[in-house]
Amino acid sequence: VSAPLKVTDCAPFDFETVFHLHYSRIARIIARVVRDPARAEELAVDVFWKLWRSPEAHGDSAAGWLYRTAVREGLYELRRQVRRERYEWLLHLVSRPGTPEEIHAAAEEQQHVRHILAKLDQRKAELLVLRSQGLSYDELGDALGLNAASVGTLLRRAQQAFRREYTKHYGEPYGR
Amino acid sequence: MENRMDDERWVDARLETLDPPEGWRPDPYKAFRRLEQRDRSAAGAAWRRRGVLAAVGISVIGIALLVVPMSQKCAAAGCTDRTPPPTRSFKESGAAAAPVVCEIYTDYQCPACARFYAETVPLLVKEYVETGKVRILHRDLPLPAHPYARLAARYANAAGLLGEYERAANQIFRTQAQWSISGDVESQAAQVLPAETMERVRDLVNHDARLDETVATDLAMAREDGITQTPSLVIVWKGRRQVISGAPDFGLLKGFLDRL
Repeated sequence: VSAPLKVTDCAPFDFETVFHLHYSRIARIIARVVRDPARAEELAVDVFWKLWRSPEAHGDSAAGWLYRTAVREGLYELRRQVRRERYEWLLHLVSRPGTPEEIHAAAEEQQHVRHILAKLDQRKAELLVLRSQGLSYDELGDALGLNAASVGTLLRRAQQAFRREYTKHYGEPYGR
Repeated sequence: MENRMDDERWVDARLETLDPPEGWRPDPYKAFRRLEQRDRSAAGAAWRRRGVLAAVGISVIGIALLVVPMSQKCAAAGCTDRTPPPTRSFKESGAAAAPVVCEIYTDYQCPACARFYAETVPLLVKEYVETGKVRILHRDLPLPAHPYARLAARYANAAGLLGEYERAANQIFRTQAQWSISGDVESQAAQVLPAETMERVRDLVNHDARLDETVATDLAMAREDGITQTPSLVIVWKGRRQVISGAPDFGLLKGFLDRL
C-alpha cells in the first residue's frame, strides 16, 4: 500500500490563467490609490512581472501575494506623487496645466482621502484600500499575512486612525 | 458598537470617492502583451550577460587544455578513470540542428513530473522531436522535500553513461509509487536493464561521486533561470530562454511551440 505522495512542491502553476483571473482586480486596487488609470495599468503589469520573476510566490498563495504587492505598489506611488506635489508647490511649478485625468481627479475630497492614505501607517492604509476594493476578511488575512480573527480589530483601528487624521487635517466633510 | 458602525460608514463614504472613473475597463490582453514584451527584453539582456560568461568559460577551457599533460602524468602513475566523466549528452534527444530546445526540469519523486513524462513527453517526442523541430534536454531538479529524488537521479544518470538513459528514466518515473516509499530505486531499474549493465550501474551509483556533477550543473541552471518547482520547462529559441514554471498540458505547449 503506498502512502499518499506530497504534491505541494510540484503542482503545475499556470501563470497566464492567474494573470487573466486577477489582472482587472489588481489594476482596480491600484487605480483606487494612484488616480491615473493608465498609470494604474502600468503598475499592475509591474506587479505581474514581479510575480513571474518570483517562483516562490507561485501556487495557492499567488492571489494573496498579488493583492499585497499591488496595494504596496499603489501606496508607494501615492507617496511619490504626494512628495512630488509638495516639491512642485515649493518650487512654484504648480501652474502647469493638468492632464484631463488630473483635472478629473482634482475633486477635493478625493485628494484629501489620498493624502491621508499616504500619511497613514502602511499596514492600516493597505487594509483600508483592499477592504474598499471588496476583499473579505479571509482574503485580507491571506494578502497581508494576518490572522483572520484579528482582521476585524485591525480594520477597526485603521478606520479610527483614518477618521482621526482626516478630521484633524480637513475637519468633518459637508453633509456627514 | 454604534461608534464602530459610524466610523465604518464614515470611512467607507470617504473611500468610495476613490472609485476609478466609470466606464474604465482594464485591458488584460494588452497588458499581457506588454508583459511578454518585457520578458523578451529581459531574456535578451540575460543572453548578453551569458555571452560574457561564455567568453570567460572559453578562457577557462583554454587554461584547462594547458593542464591536460598533467593528467596524462597521473594516468602514467596508475590513477585511472574507470568511466568517462559524466556529460549531459545522454540527456539530450532529437536533432542537433533543431531550431527549438525544450529543457525539461524534473524531480524523479514528483508525481506531477511522472504524469508529465507519461502524458506529455511522448506526444512532444512524436510531434516535434521526431520531426526535427525540437530537441529535448532533460535536467534534474531534485527538490529537498523528496528524500529519494537525488538517488533516483544517480541511477538514471549512471544508466545514461552506459547508453540506457531513456529506458532507466522512463522506468523510474513509471514505478515512482513503488520506490518513493522505500527508496529502493535499484530493484525497479533492474527490471528493465540487462544484468551486466545493471551491475555497472550499481557500481557507478555506489562509487562515482562525479554522477552528482550533472545534477549540480542542472541545479545551477535552474537557479539562473529562477526555477524552484517541478516540472518546469525552458524553451530556448533564437537565443532566448522562455521559462514556463509548471508544465502545461500538451495542447497549451503545442500552441506555444507553433507560434515560434
